[in-house]
Amino acid sequence: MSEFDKEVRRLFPSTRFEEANKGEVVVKADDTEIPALAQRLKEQRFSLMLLFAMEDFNGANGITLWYVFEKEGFEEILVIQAAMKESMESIAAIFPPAYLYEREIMDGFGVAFARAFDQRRLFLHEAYPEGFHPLLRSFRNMHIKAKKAISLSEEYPFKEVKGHGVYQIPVGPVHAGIIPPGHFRFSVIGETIFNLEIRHFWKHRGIEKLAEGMAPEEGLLLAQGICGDEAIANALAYCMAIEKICAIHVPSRAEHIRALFAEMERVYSLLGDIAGMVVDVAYPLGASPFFILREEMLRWNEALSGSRFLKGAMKIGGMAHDVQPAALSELSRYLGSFYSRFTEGINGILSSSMVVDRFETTGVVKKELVLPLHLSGPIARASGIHADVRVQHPYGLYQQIAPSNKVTEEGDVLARFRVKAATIKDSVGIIKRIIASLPSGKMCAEYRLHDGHAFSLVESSRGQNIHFISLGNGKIERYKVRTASFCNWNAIEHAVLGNIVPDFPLINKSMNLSYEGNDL
Amino acid sequence: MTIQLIDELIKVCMVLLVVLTALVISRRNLISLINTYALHSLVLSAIAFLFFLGEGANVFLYASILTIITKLWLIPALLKRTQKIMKIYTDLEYHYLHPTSSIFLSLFIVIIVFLAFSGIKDDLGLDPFNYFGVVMGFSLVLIGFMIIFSRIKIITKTIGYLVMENGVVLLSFFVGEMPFLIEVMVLMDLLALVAITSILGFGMNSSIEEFHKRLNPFRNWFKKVDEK
Amino acid sequence: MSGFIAFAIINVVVVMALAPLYISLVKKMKAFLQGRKGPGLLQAYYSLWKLFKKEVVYSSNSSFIMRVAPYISIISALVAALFVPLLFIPDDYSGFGNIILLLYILAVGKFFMALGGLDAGSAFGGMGSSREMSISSMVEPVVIVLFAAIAFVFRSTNLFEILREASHGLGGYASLWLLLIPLVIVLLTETARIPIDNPETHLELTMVHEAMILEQSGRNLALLEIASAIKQLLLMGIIINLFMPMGFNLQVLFPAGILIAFGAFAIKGAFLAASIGVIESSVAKLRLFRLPNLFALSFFLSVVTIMMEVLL
Repeated sequence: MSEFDKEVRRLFPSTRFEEANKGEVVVKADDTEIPALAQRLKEQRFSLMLLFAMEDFNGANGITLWYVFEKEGFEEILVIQAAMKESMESIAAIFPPAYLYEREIMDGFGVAFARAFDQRRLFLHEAYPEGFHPLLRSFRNMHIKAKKAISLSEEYPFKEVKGHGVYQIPVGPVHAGIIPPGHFRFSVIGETIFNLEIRHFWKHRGIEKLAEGMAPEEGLLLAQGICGDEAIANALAYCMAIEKICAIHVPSRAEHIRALFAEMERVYSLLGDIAGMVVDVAYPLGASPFFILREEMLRWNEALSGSRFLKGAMKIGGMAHDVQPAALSELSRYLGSFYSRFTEGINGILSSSMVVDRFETTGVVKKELVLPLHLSGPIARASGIHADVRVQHPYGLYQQIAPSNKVTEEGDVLARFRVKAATIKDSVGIIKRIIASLPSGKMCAEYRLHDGHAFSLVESSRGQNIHFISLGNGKIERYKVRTASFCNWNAIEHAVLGNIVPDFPLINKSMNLSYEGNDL
Repeated sequence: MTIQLIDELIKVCMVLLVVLTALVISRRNLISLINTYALHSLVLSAIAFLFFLGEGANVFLYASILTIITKLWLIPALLKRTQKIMKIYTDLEYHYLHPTSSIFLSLFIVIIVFLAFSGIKDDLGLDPFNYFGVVMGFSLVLIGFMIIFSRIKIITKTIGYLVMENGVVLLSFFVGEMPFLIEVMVLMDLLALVAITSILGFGMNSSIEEFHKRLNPFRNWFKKVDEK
Repeated sequence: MSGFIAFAIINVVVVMALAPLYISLVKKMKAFLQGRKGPGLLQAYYSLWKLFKKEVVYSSNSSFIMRVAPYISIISALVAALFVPLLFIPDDYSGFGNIILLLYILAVGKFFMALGGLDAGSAFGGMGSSREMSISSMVEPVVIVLFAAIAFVFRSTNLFEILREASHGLGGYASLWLLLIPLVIVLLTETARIPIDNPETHLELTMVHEAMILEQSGRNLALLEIASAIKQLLLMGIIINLFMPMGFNLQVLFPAGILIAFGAFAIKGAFLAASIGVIESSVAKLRLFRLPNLFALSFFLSVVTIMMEVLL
């Protein structure tokens, strides 16, 4: 019995434990117990990773709620299953991110959470008719009648901040630049931001519904399309979940190439973040080295995988194609010059006092917020919490190669800039090590599909992505994805407080959260 | 070059010097603070060189070269190296003054000095040109003082001190008496060296308050010695 | 009088012809420094031509202000163009050239531009106008003191006289070089460039000038853009003719002298525009509330220049 098991058993002496996959501790609970359990878990510094619902799980009628928790220092995750009766007590007051999950479930399944402080719709905007709940099994590609006109009382109620000199700035969902849609409602006094409320899901694609009934191979294409610059991360998580269900052993060479691509994705994605931060303080000259390096990395992606954004590289049981050994050794040589050019570029930025002046003390994410809001990735590491799935829940090759992450305490834009730069450097080192130690062998394992369900966790460039897949009769029964952006968007609402409006784009860019990863 | 043009250029340099001094107080980034100081010294050596062109006294040329070697190269390089080791990039702490108000206060200081010296202008026998130089030099010293008391970090205090010393040098260009000047310079530079060494010893990030904390154990130690 | 009319026609034609060119040139220089190709030098003309052909869309909340603001802006810019001699100085100024009047003519255009931003009733227009006006209110005293310092140096408030004096060379006016820094800061501020504003941003929340004209479209937008380009050229013209008077106001007149002066001005303007590009590339945008620091610096330099001129 593992340490985590013991810890959980101590917390729940009288609960039933379920058979589960390796790395998951599953507890069945009654719906009435949930708030008390949540309270106890919070006291033990557990953090809510995911909350979702599933209809007719294991032949049971009705909706089962899945509460997924993790605790710092433990590899395993805790899953609490609770059958839902008419209504469930909200735990949003205990675990703040639950206010999003619960609203998501309310929209998807048409159930209610009692005593939830936020009962507004989430991804179903005003134009959707009443009684439309797409995640129910009974709903099958019906034509829906969108509302033509929205009356004033039906409009989405934003939090109102009243007072002398407070006024609102609505921004988006259509922006001046070419970026995805999102609505930002600022309440400001002069230029100082007093409150910010973000509203998303303008391009909700219904990925979870689309996946229902798909064959696993088909679903992989869906997974890699979740978010453009997290194609590998999401495809990898998807494959890992299927492999866990079907007990597929991935060949060692394929594990290496998977980690290689995951790190290459991290590098090009974070390079874009860094360049964007510098552009947003209007210093394009300092940003151009990073744009050039990013383009070169994209070309390496193409040389190795055939796709600039590493799409189509992953396959259940391994990789779709092998890589050219000649290209790998060339890449290894290139990374030497990459490293020195990158370091030079970063030093150039950090020695520009005007840039540092803008970065410093801007958009601070307080350390105390990281755990309650379940922030992950560079944002958490910049605020003094060493959150990294590769370290905390090691998977694939990361069981052998551990990244050495930089953690800073300040939590401002400069800290995020430094953490992201350090992450790129570290990833480059990992890529070199992988190339040096690449074994030969098969690229893909043979496999037979089983029914079952599993969770998988990966570290994308933005933080922790969690996937859940349930297979029944060889098809996907339920697919639930939560990307790092879903939780991390909450960080912006807190980070901007007290900053001035013209600094918002910089704070936003320093996190560079994904709209697509949120609007599933 | 005509004498008149040289005088005009010296005046321009002096104003630049005052402006750079005022800028020192608004710099938050340590690298740019050190660079500003190097620039400050460059302008000072330019003034010395212009004096050399105007009056032909070799001592000004020596002063110019000495300034370039020590203040444009040696001291900034030393400070930068220390700064790199200590990994401190910025100084955000101010005691009483914030950047913009400090620039206005500097302007105020210049005017006050101008008015204060106008009373004794004739007694000193200064012509308008030398009078302007004395005003600027003295203002520089006062602004240097302002930097010292308005910043908390030792490193910025040291820069303030070095700026003040540049002011003393400028003042003595106009008052004459070069041997006296050399003596003061050496003395000042020695003091600056001591300050820099203390930074090396105690760390760039330290402030005066921290020195007290660090020295406290020694006081206890002395007490124990007394008790024995 | 006829001399002045010839001057007016030539000056306005030169301003109109060159103003968009320098906008493109700054962009080209910035692109070059970033290792990009950048737009062609004629791009600004093409863009204006495109805008002139497009329809004008008015917000349903807007009043007549929105309709007249572009015309008032362009007219004020063109009138201001009569105040700044670019190629030569006519013998008869006919009451033009007062430096303070020039400032306020430009301010009228800016005032109506800001009103236009408020008029459409969108959040960004109001935000842009309020920022532009608060920056203006900070830079206004600086500009006044700066121009006063120039006036003190040359003992005249008439720009024609000042520039005539300057065209003899700056040998006796070394203190004037101190004013180059404030002049460049004012130029960057008035033309909404980095580090004060970013003319190329697509982030509506950081915009100052761009947010103000966000609601303008078609012909009206083109007029406002030309007005801004003219303003930039006029301020550049003052700097060029004060500090680089080579080829300005030649004694040989029509047409050879004019052509040489035009060529010289175009080259010097290109040099200054390229320098603006370099300055813009080498700094980042300042935080909005740090701007007073920059203006305090210009103020300081201007005041000390006045002290040097008046008290010594």
